[in-house]
Amino acid sequence: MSDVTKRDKTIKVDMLARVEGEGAFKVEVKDNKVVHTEFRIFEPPRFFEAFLQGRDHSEAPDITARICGICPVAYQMSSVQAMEMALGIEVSQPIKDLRRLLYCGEWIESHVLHAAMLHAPDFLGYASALDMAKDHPDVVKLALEYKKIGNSIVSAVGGREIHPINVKVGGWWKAPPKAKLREVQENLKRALDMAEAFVDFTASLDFPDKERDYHMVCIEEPNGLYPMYEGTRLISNRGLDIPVTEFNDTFDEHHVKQSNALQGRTRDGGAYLTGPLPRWNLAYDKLSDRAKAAAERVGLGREVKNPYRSITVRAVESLYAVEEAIRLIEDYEEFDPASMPVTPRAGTGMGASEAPRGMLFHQYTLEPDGAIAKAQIVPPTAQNQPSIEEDLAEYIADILDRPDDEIQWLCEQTIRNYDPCISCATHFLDLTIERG
Amino acid sequence: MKPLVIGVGNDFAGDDAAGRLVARALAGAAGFDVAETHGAAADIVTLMEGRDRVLIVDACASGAAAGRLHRLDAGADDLPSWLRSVSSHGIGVAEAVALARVLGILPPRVEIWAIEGVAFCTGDAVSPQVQATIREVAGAIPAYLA
Repeated sequence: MSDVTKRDKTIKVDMLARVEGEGAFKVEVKDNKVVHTEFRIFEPPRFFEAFLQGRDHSEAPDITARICGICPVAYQMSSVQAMEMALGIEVSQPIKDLRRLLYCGEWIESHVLHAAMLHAPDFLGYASALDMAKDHPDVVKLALEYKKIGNSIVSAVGGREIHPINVKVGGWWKAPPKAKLREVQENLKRALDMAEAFVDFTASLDFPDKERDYHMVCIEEPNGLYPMYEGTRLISNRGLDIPVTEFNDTFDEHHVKQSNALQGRTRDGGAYLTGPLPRWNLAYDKLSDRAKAAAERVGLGREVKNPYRSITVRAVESLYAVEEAIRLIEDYEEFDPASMPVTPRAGTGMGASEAPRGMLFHQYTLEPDGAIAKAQIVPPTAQNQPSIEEDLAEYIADILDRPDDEIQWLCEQTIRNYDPCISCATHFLDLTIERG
Repeated sequence: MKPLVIGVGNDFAGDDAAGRLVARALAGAAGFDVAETHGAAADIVTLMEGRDRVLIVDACASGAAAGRLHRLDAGADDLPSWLRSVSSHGIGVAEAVALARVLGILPPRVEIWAIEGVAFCTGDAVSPQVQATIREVAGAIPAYLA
């Protein structure tokens, strides 16, 4: 990065390591002011929306699950809810509870992976988890062990660890045996101490002292639970409270030239935030007592506007997911049939759930034979993209006189606050850093 | 514990699916276990842990001819930079091997078979040369691990 002048510079990174997918960012500085920020992502949902057209409604959960290697469950959960609305199916409470349990597994896997392996190195000054592991092997081992317990939920409920196959429109292919879930529950009880230790670890990091007044949006569950699976309503800290069916009346996807993903904004053009911070700020009271106690112990208040603290919010949410999974298994009884009857019909349905990294919205329109006429998939990272760009502009404004690599470090750390799942077209990547 | 074959890749990104397609072709084979993953290091490390022998099959882009099979021994070789660069998200196969080594849980025998690909965009078809190598590799693995 050679400065054009001492006051003008462009920081451009064509590939971000340690985000789940491919991304790039560019920050232009003129006269010691940030004049432009650009966060570019390469995202496949557009391909999948086209790919789904003409396919049977029953294929959507399995196909969309493959959009993201990290959060297949989120894609399945939003897609089945949208499909069930389109088909006029109301699923039973045991079906919903088992879906929430599966989601707990994914939250644990994804949050722990991101916090420990991708984000923590930023705070500790390491370029990668590998470098961090040399000095902090215990943290990495703890994270891998903890993540594995999340895997065990997904494996037991979803049928396999990666890309679960047991989820279907209308319910499940088969309700898992109670004895198998009881084994998982034993692991989960063992994970409670790991979860507490992990909260303490994340809270011990040094956080940049930066915050903004975000428009925070998350789903609201109909049953008073912490937002995760069942997004019947969407709420915000600025008074938004709408049924999920009004998503497209309230939010809009804009195409921007730097990205093949559409950027999400409110209809009036404002940026908004989805993810751990909105859930935390809008639903803190719905956390378990133990999760709240852990938050209090490490000084995390009920209001968190500093996005760098999202790493600790993720750790507390993971602790909550462990407890929630224990509770759901405690109440679990095998059920048969495992699915509601499904009769194809024409219709339109919407579904939203909370992927670990934020709200994921799906909408499908079906033909009378149940084939998909139109699919819309709005992932959390597309919605967060305008916020990421605003963060980049604001959070580096006071360090523009610092060396470029220091600015770049903070930019990357800032982007990773979002755990951006820009699940890539391929795992082929090419990192270049251009200076000019 | 039985040997483990790990197929790494992305089903919807052309030749990047190679590892997974090999894994799928081996489903039900006797004498070894088979797993698939999109390639995050944490998943690969977890899958490898406790095994004596692991064979990872992945796609790669080193600049060689399409369909060429690169056979690497993680214990003996310094893994080449192109393997690192094609691995998932900058934290893929090569990093998984390095991470497992740092943590002291790298299995005694880990090999990586990387199939040279040319088409990696979302929606691409698997190229014919890669398809041919997938068949060869899937055919050869049972005897190799026997």
